[in-house]
Amino acid sequence: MYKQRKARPPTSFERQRRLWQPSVELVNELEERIEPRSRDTYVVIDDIEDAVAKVHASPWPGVDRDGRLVFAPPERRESTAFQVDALYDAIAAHRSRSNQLGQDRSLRVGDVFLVRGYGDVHDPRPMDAWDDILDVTRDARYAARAAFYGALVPVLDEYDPEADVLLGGASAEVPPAPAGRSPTSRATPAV
Amino acid sequence: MARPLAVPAAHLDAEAPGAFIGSIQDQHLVYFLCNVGDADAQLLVLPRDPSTGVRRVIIVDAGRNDKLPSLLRALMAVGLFPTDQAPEEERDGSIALIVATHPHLDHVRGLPQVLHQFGKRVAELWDPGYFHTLPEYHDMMREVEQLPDLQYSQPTSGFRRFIGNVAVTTLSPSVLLRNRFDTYGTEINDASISLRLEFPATRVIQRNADRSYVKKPSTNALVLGADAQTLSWSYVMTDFPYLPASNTAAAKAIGGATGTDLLRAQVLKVSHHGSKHGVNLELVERVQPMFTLVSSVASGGQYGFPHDVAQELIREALEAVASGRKTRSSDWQLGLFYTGDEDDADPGVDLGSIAVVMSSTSSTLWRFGDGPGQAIDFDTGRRWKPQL
Repeated sequence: MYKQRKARPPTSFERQRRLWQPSVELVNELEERIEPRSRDTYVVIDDIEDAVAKVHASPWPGVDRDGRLVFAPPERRESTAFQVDALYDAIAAHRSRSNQLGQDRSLRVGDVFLVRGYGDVHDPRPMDAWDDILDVTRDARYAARAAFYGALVPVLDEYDPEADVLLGGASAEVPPAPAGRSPTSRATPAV
Repeated sequence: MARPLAVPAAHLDAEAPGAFIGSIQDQHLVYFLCNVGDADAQLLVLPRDPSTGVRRVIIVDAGRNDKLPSLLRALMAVGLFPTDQAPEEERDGSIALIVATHPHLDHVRGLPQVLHQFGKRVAELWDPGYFHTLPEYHDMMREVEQLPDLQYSQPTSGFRRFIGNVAVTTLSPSVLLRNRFDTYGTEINDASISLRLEFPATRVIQRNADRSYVKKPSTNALVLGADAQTLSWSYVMTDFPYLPASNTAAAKAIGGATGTDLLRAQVLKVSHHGSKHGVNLELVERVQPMFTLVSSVASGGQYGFPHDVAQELIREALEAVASGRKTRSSDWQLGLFYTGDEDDADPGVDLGSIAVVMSSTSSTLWRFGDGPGQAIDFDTGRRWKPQL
């Protein structure tokens, strides 16, 4: 049978060795690579219906040997409904406090935040008790695209000459690797 | 949110064990709308293929873990789905198609599990191509990556796939909406793949060495609305117009232009759990369903589904009373059912998952009494009797 793609073996959450490290965009075109902790929470806005935002929370993901995001099993994830206005206020306050980009940007489905101090995903702490909220939406969207294209079309090895061609042809649109591009990189983000 | 009136228990026949399965004939298509709360999980058992003797299934969303895998196992046990011991040629492609209508959690939560357990049986996967940052989206793509034979597509309006004797037509998203996904220009619900399935798709009769085309076939159809909202439906209404009959003498003389509606169907799975944003009056009027089905808890949930205004729109489309000429019938009298509704003999207990057994000319509705977290037990099936 015709094969649309080559299969790659999966990796379990327990076997992954490093946490995913996205960058957070700051004002003045700065950004910093964050240093997540294993107790941090990956929080996605899954849906917004009128005044209610459905948020899906899971332990912070790892990265497997092929660079794919690996999440905790489904029983360690949970959805919770929040009032959109209250959630926006909490996020805006943290954005402002740590000079994050888009301080007045409204919430949208697919936005992703690293939340420190979220608590148990099945019984989250009140929003005003969250220690920090970092908007990692941009890199989370790139990761989703990478998951999609990585699954469906061939993945080029970095030593493949075609990789150079691909990068050269689209260099203006491909973000550089997160590490090393931050003028203000810190080991731990502002809290 | 208005809780629907309880369905009269007298209209639901408690059948003997085995009655539901016994009612299914080879030429029947069986549609399951599973009770998974405010989520979607649908499965269609296609008519038995006369050439291979095998039934295949189509899965449309899996909004909860375990529900569809247990249903597939139950179908294996009664001979409606090839078992794990069946010959490879029967198992391969026995899940002809999985449609992930859009990547909201309440539609894709259980798909990684389905792909993990049954992936080698799956011939095709459709999704709209809308990227989402959910863990379950990553999980789904990781499972897809393990299945090199799985054919992946992003269908848009008008794309049609023939699977055995069933024609599957993509109603939405329109290609215009599709081309706006990456700019945030399309709301995720409007990215939904909605479908119309019509059967039998056969149009040719073979008589010895001659073939004749069937001009006016008797068919049955379903419209599965996913979470498409009114913007998306507006494109559907344009792309799939009502083609009115021509009254000209010439048209009558050639027997053509008999009038047809490309959206007509006996079963309508209402979009978006009865959200006010998912229901379009004209759409329901054009579909003219015998059964209008809502996957909803019917008691509020996080978003208050089904919304009052949506229920009223559906009711008005099914039975126009706005002019004040008659009083409104009950939902059950209109063929409007919710996975979470209940009967008057056992309040507080879900009537649960719905099955519609469909031939080319008739449809029979069954309820199974399962809660969102419970497996469907065919032996608990109760047949809906419209008339006492």
